[in-house]
Amino acid sequence: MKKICVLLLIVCTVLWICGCSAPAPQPAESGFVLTVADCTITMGAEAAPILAALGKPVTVTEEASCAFDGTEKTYRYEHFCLTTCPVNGAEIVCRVWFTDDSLSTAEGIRIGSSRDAVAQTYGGDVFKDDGLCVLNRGESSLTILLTNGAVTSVQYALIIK
Amino acid sequence: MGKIKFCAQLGFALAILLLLQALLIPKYMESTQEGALIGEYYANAGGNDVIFIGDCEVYENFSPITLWNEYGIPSCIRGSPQQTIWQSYYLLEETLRYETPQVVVFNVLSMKYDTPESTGDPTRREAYNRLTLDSMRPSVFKWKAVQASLTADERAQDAQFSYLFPILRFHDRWSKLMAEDFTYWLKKDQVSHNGYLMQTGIKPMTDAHPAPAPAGYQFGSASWDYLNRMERLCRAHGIKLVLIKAPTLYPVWWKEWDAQIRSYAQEKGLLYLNMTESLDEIGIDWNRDTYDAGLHLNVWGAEKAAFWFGRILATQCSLPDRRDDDALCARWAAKTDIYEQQKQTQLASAS
Repeated sequence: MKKICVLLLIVCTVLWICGCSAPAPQPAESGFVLTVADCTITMGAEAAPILAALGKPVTVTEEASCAFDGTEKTYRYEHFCLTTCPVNGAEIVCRVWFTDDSLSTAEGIRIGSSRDAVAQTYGGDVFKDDGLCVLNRGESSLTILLTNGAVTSVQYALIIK
Repeated sequence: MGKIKFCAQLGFALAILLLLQALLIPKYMESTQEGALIGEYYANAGGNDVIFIGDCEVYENFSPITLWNEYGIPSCIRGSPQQTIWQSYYLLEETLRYETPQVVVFNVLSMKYDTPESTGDPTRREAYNRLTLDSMRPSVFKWKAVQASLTADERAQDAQFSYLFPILRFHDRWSKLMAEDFTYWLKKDQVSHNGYLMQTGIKPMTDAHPAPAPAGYQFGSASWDYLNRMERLCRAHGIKLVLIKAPTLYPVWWKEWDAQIRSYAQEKGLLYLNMTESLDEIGIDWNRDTYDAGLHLNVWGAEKAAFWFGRILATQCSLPDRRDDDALCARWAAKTDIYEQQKQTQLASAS
């Protein structure tokens, strides 16, 4: 009898521990993906292969921080700019923005698109105000700026936590 | 006798703790010298007609030595890296404990940040906070600046006490101590010239720095609150507040931001100078006068900016030429010698 009780206690304890164990990790929500000339760009991705695929930029400029090591680099291409940041010794993609209406988001929004098109594509509740639309997905954000009802800026950024 | 012994033991323990703290905190003498700037003010306090307040755009872009030698205007810069407007305000309050200048010059770029979180990476924000706040002397102004500066993570960890007792923050540096920590354990060298951090490098600006438009152009309510406090504080002390945007090309000073400051200055009767509109008049040569491709000026650019700005201080702010004061002349002659010596030393080591 005593042995059965001990056994039951052990079984219950094991079951309790299993029940309290951390839930299986959920896959991270994937962020925004931008495709430019067959090159897939995601925020937080290592920059080297992306830069190699994009080819020679028009210009490369560096912005050092006020006091610390590490430099952000901005690569300007024909229709967009891409900024990389140093993180743990690697150069990663932290920002991309369009400079003309040649490119569009994966959902089809580009500079010049109407406010209605943005609302239909992403939903009306993404507007912070008439001129600003911000969406977060995974570790990235998509910011769309509008002036007089038309998109004037499309920017992807890495969310820094 | 017992009490005396106890006090002696307590005093001894405190002394050991302070010695240990002095060893463990970063020294900012050889690397990241920007961290030494705020603390160097106290040796230069008093006798300054102009105090500059703000971020790297003040301590990199204006030479107090030039202001003195060309116009007889004694000045000091209380600048630090990415200094936020709330830090600027409390630094100004603290400064007024030591002296009452005739003019306070505030660089308005920091208006774009109205919360600690808005400055970006919270880890980097904490690091910048340290560079500004750690070398402030203990005071109610430091405490208020710390409270206003804490990131959400710092607040959750009650980090405010680590700004009063830095050993709480840097206790684990024992494994990372370098020769600099021992060399400057109990004494510091001067790294700046009345708050100006000299750069003699040259890196021409060859291409414009592209930048995305900000999510919104309106400055936040906290920024306006602190600017108003600064304006009221200066007015209460009979100090002329001058707003400037330093003569640099990046970060971008958007016209929408400029319009807000212009409107504010007009409303308050303040002088506002957007020096990015006077680059030709100042004489900035982007092939020669910048050490980081247009983000900041080097010493030649800073001297040009000071020369241009000094004329305005002398005329529009009616600042007197103090070169008839023998004591000030002697003091600034010594400062000039150190300044010119460092210029030559830096140039020699670069060639």
